[in-house]
Amino acid sequence: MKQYFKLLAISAVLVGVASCTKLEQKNFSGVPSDAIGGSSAGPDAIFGDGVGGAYGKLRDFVGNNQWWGINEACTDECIVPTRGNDWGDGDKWKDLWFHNFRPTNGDFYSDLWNNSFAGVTACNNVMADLNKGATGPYKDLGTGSSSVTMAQAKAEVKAARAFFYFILMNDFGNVPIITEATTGTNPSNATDASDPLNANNGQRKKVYDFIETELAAAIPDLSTKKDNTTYGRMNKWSALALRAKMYMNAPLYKGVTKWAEAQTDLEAVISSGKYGVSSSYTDIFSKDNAGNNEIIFQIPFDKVWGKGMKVQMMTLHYNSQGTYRLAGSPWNGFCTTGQFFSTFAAGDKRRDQTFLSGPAFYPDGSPVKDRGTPFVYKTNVTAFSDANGNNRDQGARGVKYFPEAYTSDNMSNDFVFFRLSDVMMLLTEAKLRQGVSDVNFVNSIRERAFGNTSQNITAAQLTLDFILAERGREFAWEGWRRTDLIRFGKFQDARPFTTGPDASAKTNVFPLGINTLNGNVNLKQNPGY
Amino acid sequence: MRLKNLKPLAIVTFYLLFTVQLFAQNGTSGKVVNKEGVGVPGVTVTANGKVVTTTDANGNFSANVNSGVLSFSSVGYELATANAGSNVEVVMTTKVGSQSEVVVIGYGSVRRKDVTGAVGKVSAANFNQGAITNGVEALQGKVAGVAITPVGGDPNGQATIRIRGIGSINGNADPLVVLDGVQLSDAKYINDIPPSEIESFDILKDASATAIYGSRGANGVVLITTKKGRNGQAKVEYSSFVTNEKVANTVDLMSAGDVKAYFAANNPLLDGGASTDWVKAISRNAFTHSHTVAVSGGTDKFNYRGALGYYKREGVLLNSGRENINARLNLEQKAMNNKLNIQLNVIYNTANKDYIDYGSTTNNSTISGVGQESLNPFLFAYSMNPTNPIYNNSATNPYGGFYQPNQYASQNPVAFLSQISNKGKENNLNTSARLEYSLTKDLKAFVFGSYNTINTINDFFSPTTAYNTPLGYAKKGNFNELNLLGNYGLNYRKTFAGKHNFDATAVYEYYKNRKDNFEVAVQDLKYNNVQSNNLALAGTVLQGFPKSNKEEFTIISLLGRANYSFDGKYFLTASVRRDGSSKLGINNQWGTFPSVSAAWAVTRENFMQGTTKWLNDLKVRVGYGITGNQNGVNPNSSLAVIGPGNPTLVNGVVTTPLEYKQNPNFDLQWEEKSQFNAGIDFAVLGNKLTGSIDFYSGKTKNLLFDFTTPSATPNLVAAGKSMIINGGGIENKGLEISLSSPVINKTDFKLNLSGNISFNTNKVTGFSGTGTDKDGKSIEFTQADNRLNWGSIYGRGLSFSNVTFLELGQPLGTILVPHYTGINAAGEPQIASGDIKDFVRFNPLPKFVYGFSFAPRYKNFDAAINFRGVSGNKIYNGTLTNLNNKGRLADGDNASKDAVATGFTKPQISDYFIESGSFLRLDNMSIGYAIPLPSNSVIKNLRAFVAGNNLFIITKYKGTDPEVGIADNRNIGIENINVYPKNRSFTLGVNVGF
Repeated sequence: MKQYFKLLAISAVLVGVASCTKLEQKNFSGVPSDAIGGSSAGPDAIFGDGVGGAYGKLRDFVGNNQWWGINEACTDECIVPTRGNDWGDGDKWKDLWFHNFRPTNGDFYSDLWNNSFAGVTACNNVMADLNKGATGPYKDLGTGSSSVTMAQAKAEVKAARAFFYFILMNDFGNVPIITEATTGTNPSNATDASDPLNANNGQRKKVYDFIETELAAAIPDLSTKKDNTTYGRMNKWSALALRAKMYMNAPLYKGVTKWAEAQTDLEAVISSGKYGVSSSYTDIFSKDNAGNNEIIFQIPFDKVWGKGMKVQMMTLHYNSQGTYRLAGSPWNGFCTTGQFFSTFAAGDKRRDQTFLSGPAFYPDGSPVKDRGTPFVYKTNVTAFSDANGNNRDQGARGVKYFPEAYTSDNMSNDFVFFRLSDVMMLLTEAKLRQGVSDVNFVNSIRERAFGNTSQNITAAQLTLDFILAERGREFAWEGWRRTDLIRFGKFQDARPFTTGPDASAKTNVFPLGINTLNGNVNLKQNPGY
Repeated sequence: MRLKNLKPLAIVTFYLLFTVQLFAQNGTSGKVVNKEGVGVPGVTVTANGKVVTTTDANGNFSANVNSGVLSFSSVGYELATANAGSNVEVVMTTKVGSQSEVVVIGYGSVRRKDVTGAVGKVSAANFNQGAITNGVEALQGKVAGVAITPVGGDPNGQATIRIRGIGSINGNADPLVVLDGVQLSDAKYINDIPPSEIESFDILKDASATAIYGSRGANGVVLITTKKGRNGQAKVEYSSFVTNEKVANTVDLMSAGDVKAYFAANNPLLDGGASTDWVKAISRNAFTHSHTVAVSGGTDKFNYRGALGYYKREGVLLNSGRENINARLNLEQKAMNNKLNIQLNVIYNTANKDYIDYGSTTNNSTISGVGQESLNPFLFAYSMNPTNPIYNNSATNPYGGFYQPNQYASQNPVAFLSQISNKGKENNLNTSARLEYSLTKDLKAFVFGSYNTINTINDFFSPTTAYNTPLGYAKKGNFNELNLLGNYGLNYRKTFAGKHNFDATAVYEYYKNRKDNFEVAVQDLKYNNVQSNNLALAGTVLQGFPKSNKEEFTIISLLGRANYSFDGKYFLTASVRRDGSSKLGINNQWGTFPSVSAAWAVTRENFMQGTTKWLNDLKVRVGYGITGNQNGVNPNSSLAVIGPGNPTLVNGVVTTPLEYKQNPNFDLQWEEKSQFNAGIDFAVLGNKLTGSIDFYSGKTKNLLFDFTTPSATPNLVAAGKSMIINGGGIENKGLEISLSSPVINKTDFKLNLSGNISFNTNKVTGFSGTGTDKDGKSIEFTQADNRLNWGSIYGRGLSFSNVTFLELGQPLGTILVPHYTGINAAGEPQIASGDIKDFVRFNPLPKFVYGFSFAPRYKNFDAAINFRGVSGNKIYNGTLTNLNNKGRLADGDNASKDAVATGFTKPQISDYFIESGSFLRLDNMSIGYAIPLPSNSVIKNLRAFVAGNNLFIITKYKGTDPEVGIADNRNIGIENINVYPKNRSFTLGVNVGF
């Protein structure tokens, strides 16, 4: 009998503990989701933290495989030759130069898509939290010491998101529009069959309309300051510059001209008086360019906390490491062609401020050697690819963002997206396209370039071709050359090594990457790819 | 109730029980027991060639023999001998593979003849010998369907174990390893178990057997049983070996002379004037020495075994090595009229590791990166100009006396191997206790608990003289892991009417794993002598540091198993386990894993009486089970993970915004594998040939995928980032054959032959999956293509280029590469152009793997010769894709021996670099000699042996070794420049028993 009691007791224990089957998910190291955006003091800083996540994505835009590299290496001002075994990379650089854009060029196009949508998602998350109002993490905006109102905060998120959509529309044409309010799972960018405008554009004009509406809603509420509170962030003036850039290219995006609207926005930026023409061209791009008064919108980079700026690594020859005391051996890739190099007139200081050519030396004056012989940066690129790497010393190198000692892919130079000279040149162009030839801004830019007025031009000399060429010289390697060439109808033109112009205008947009298409069956490839 | 009080009672019981034995003073008496200490009935006792008696039901015997040697024999046991005397105890060891051998099946054990699933067993007597520092290497090639592959000769590497193919794509494909009932958190911790303390491995292969481990059983289960003390006189064993290891094979590179000649004809300026074999310069003749002392013994009530072990193993690459110090204690006490059995087990291991990073990424760009550890010695040794010297003793040389070429992608590998210190110290304490109490004659209750804590301290230091770190660099990290396991249950065993045998077990189990870590990396360290010992001296703490993390998961289980057999003819086993895991999504934390299997001992039937002449034994088995897998995903897999985003400036202040790093998946569930198994066990020709044949077919569905969500997906908190989802599937089908034969069985000369072969086919059946959006609504993630990029090769001029793919209907990692069509008139290699649809396909997985061994024994000599091989797989040789091109020579980098002749001028992917991965290897050979000792010697036994490992290999493969890319599913079928070379080793050893 005793045995049975024992058995009963043990069974009871078994059943008792067996019913204790609660599984607790412990997340020791994770942050609670309501803490998003909330780590600094003060409601303005809390919001800055939240929206900072979106701006932080922009540091993924400036690299060889990223927005900058893809938009540059397909234009006349930037070429990535195959040098021996280097930069072969499955011919993706070659395809870029020859405008043989393929969805399978590495992860080029998928990464560009992903980096842009990462910004969109970050904005959507902040917007969803802002929409929670008094119950959300940003409930204190506009109260107490807060100078940022809820309306201003929402405006900034809209403007930042519009920036990412502008990049997407400019590079891919039709993309799905996703906001914090979008439901469903696999969005479509299906070409609108009824669209009479342009078979190649499809829904692109809808993206255009979306951006226009968003910016129109945002601009009145945006901050008008240019100071610490708007550094690296969208204020009213950068939003206007963005909208002007879109208006200038509206014929391409929507098939409409918007020169007058562009002019209004550009003039508003200039007349704000917040920005000026930097007296020194090199200061605009130096490692200390954070506060330069010409810059309207920039991506802050820093060698310690804001890594990712690596133009010096992408362009310089391996052995220039010693010349500039870099922390790593550069990759000897990006350069410009002899043809583009020669578009700079004699005395144009911008040539050598932008491109490095000639013999290379170490700081002690001794020559840099390569394969045993003294090394010279030659301006002419004579072969796109050379199996033995004999073209490895060819092409002048981009030193606009001047190399910084003891850094490698972590330069401190901020990347400049919008600057006043661009606004001035766009305004000159908008006026000319409306029949008004105003050379004032062009000449003030050229005076800085030549150091005197000797190369100023007359109203008669101001043609669209001149503007395109001058934009090339002034804005070389700033990421906008492809957009400019397309606007001027020159993007498909023959370039060195190509057998002629592009066969079709499909190259005005890039293909969607293979991984992007694989991930969503509802997405349609751009026409012709 | 305290044990002390029980002692007198226990002693009385002991005397009562064995009165017969104690009072049989005349002649010889004693007891014959098996290794578990249980009496063996029916053992034939012979003296001077005559049968004198047999043991009774409890294993006791007495015989009228007063001197000489008695032999003990019984079917299924090895022959045993003992000197005549009173109170003799004889331990009979089970003959391996025999029907009475005990097979551990998890939460219990059964006799071989009662097994209904596919279970393999290897006992110590059959282990491979030689320089074995990782236990599982002792059973390489021994069990059909079990592939064990050590990672080259890296002393800190772990052997990869794959049971019946690869059953998971992104989850971890390692089996569950159970050490004396303790479920290890990672198969790599086998490295911390001293091989000399392992008694046997039992390997559960099919799902009907592994289902008892439910959610952890899908990849098979390896059960390790350690040696225990035995009733009898105290024994002291000492064993020791020394091993010499060398690199077995290297890639054929151009020699310094070849390169000099090429430079002379092309660019003499590249000749550095020296003559260096860089691969030789980074490798060495390595020595290992190992010592183990074990003490064991016991009485009827109490037995013990303790052991201390030490080994120090040098790696064949400079500065790599491992030192292990371990201690072990096992105690077993019976009490309360033998109703209570208490077992205690402690293993403690300290490993001092000198790591070498031969990782899969190259990093030679920055001093700011924390990837500083990834300096692959092979990449640089293969690339470095062989006319460069190793040293540069110029007074102005900033590199600590080492020559550095100051050239892109080139660095002196001897320098960084010598200068960088990369150490780890791992302490692993594994303790467990088991109490078993007999409630009635048939019913037992048991409680088991284990506590396992692993602490690792990593120290990394790169001085200011190292090429990449002019500012000095140091990193220190502390990693802790805790595993708690507790279970208790009931076991009921009863025979009704002499024919109906029931054996049922029910268990409740609780398992918890917790990990935490802390890491700091700094630079700007001026004092090289301080290394990582005083980080406060550093000028800069690197961005992202210090960092720490802590995570935990729990598995709660209820399980039961019932065995029923009738008349020794019909066997039925059914088990069910219900597991809940906190790793999984809140909607799907619980899963049920059932199994059923049956066996029929055909030869026991009366109608089979006529066949006994040739068919001695035949058993047919079938089984089906469902198991799960949740390895390879971390405890927070189903949760939204929020972490630091890119730092940014807010109002002039650098801040780190928070952002979502991972999307939550409320529906995350187990990988689920269902497997059918059918097999036969047989013995024919008077037991001259025994064997098993098994067929299996398994499907895994709901595979765990670390899925990168499409960046343009609404309603996700982290669109474009990871979500752990379930999706897709993979199938494995196969056939396994094991045969064994005592070809010659004479007193002086014996020869055992055994072999096994296993065929497996693997097929990917899907890779679309489902997760949830941020509100918990289900989302389907479909893949538009039927092919996904999988493994890639990399190198200068290649970036990361895909060569293997996941494709529906094809094996995991199917290779697709363009076709090499030969050379043109100008001698230039031609590769067919075209899209991936025009590529050539190759299978990276072997058609079959096999092993066979010879075990001859002549008088006091014993030997073992073990061969192992695989057949039918192809390897993409990424190393040669990089090296076989003469373009490298223009920069002064070295190239493969035939680079100039083959004409490649750049690294180009094609089937030119596809090679057969088939091989046959003489894995292990040993010869031992038991030195005859006088009967009154203090030393009871003394055996010396020599052994060789990896003595030769027959293969067409041109890389260092065809066993590549096995540990990481992504690298299946690919050799990159990231292989620790395989060694050839010779060992001299001695075992002494007192």
